[in-house]
Amino acid sequence: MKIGKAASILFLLLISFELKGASSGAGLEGMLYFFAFLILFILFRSPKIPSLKTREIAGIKALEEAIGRSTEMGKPILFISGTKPVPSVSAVAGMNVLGRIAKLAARYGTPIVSPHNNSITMMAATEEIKEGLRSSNNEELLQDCSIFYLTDSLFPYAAGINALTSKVRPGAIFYMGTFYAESLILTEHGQNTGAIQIAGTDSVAQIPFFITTCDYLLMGEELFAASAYIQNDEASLRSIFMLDLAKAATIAYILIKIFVVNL
Amino acid sequence: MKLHRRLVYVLLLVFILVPMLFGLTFKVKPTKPVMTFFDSVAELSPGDYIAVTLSFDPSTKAELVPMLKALTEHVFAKGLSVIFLNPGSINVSDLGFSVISDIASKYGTIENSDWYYLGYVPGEKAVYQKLGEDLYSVYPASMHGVKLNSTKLYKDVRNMEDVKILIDLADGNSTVDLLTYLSTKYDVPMAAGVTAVMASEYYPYLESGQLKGLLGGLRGAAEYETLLNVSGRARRGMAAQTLAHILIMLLVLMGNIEYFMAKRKNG
Amino acid sequence: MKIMAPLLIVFIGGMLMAFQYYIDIPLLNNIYKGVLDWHMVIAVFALVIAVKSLIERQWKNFRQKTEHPVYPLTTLISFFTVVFLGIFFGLKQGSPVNFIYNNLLVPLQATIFSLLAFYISSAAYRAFRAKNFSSTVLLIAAMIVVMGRIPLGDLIATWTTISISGKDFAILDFPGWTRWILTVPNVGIKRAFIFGITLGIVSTSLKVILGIERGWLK
Repeated sequence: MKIGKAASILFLLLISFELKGASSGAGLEGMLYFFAFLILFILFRSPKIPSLKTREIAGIKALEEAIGRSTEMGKPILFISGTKPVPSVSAVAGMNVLGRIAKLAARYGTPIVSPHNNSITMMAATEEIKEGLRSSNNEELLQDCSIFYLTDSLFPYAAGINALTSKVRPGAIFYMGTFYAESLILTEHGQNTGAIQIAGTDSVAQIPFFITTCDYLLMGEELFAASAYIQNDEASLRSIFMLDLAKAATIAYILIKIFVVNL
Repeated sequence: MKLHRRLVYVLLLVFILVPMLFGLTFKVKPTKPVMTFFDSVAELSPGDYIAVTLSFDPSTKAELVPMLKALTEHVFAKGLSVIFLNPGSINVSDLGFSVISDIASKYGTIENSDWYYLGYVPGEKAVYQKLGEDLYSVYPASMHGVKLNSTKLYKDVRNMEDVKILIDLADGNSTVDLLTYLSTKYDVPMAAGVTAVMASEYYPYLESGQLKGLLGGLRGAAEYETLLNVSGRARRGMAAQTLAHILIMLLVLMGNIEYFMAKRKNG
Repeated sequence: MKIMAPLLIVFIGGMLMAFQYYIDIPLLNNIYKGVLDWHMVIAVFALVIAVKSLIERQWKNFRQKTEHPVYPLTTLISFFTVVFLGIFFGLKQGSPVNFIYNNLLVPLQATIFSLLAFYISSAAYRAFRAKNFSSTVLLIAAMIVVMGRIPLGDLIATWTTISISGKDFAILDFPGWTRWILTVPNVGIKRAFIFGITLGIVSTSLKVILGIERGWLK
């Protein structure tokens, strides 16, 4: 409770300064929202709260199936990291999924091919793959993996990936992160090559395209939940519950506001 | 399926090329998002300032340049003062400037007096925020190096709060970023023109009133041209788009017939 | 210490950046401006790493005498040519780099973008099938929106307009139905996604700030 009190005092102190966007009320509401989240997050780290169970995410469960199929076919797997670079949240979540993929790939001895459109993301992916291979005691596989930078531009990036897909004919393709107009160009081509495709994205406009062309999809917040689910530690699992709690609070807030406005 | 796919592509090419070669045109009826966009510009008085951000890559110019042309015609005809800038995309600088200067010469408007082209500065979201505080800390000079403190703009506009409306022409996520970091935070009214694949994403912002209007793809540009009563590239392109849409509907119909026939065959 | 130091930097940095978004304190604003400048400096280093990776990979591909050595060679020649022209002739309008950009890169990029139309047609042909109730609803909604977005839909609405007690009423009002689909079910679903994604982003960001998510420490 001490933390809660300290955060409340800090909040009152902070709103005594001039808030940006104060005239629209967005500043105060945003601050309130942020603080509510912060307090809940801190409180939910308490070990007193019992462990939580989460439902299985089909897309994550299918990762092993996809990599297994690739191994049977003797083909590599392709990981595409989206067009928003690390440290954007979607890319960070995508990297966590890549860690899991690398672990599974190491177990099966299947090489990973991963082109990137940002060098920082490329470095993060390299570390993630190295860590995954190390934890499965198959570091030698890194020699067969290919993690590289392609280009920053959207459509040349899409063209490069399509050329690569045609060349290496991967058994499984994973798309994790933020995508724009290139999503269908990539996934429809991947579909044509017969690869099993699993995507995870926070790009709302691209979800219909991924649904049409991919075998599994982590939709919107599922990508972030999957990232926590993969980590499988208490704090991460609690954060999924937190997310649901925040959603319930948001719904309640909207209903109250509708009621107040229409009163 | 392999043969089918190739046939589909050839048919689509034919359906797009034929109306273009024969110069077919169709009338379009303006929809509400385009009308509200048009009205929010039309209701401004001569001399009012508006800002137009070009946040697209030249690769999507087929959809967005017709919008830029129609909008520029409208604002110059109304005698508005316009700040053009492209902090979201470095690649559109030359293309945007050439389109705007062509239309400016038609209306006799003068650069750095009636309109300003500020160009690109790196930083995206950081730039969007700074625009709400001090325009000249981000853009001390125009794209061609004219110091802005010697222009009329410097006397009239301190930051984006002083413009009547901000319009974003975009092929990516810049509209959401501008709404978050500039429009909502600094109370700047905003409208947007986006590619057709992105348009459905912006309806929530339109319905909430955060966007005053929305132009979606070539159709949006064609509707704007209709409201302006000009026959531009967008209206001419609508014939090809119409036939392509009809082909897609026929393909979906064929796909379903094929599916049900196969289902019946397999019992 | 090796773990605590970066965690502490992230915690302090993250909190400061979050507060500066809402609160107008000159000190925080100045820190924020400094951070933005650093961000740009780091972005330049990222470019150096990118160039190194590109050259290394293409050179390796060329040396290994892969099936098509002409591709990596083309990439390398194009890269060095553009860098050379850019350094010696500048980037202004009419410069060689500008010419290459406008006459080679832009049409090539537009070609890739236009592939979208072809892929949409084949994807629609394959995916929109009335397999069950949900896919039938999707199919009907898609067809209405396609009709409502083309001038033919406007024409059909005009042709089928009848007057009932002085009020015009279109029997096949595709544009009207499209408007309803886009502004009611579409907006509702999009908002649900936006809320979910935003909460996911806030929660992941807070996990990083509070040190729960440590994947980036690897």
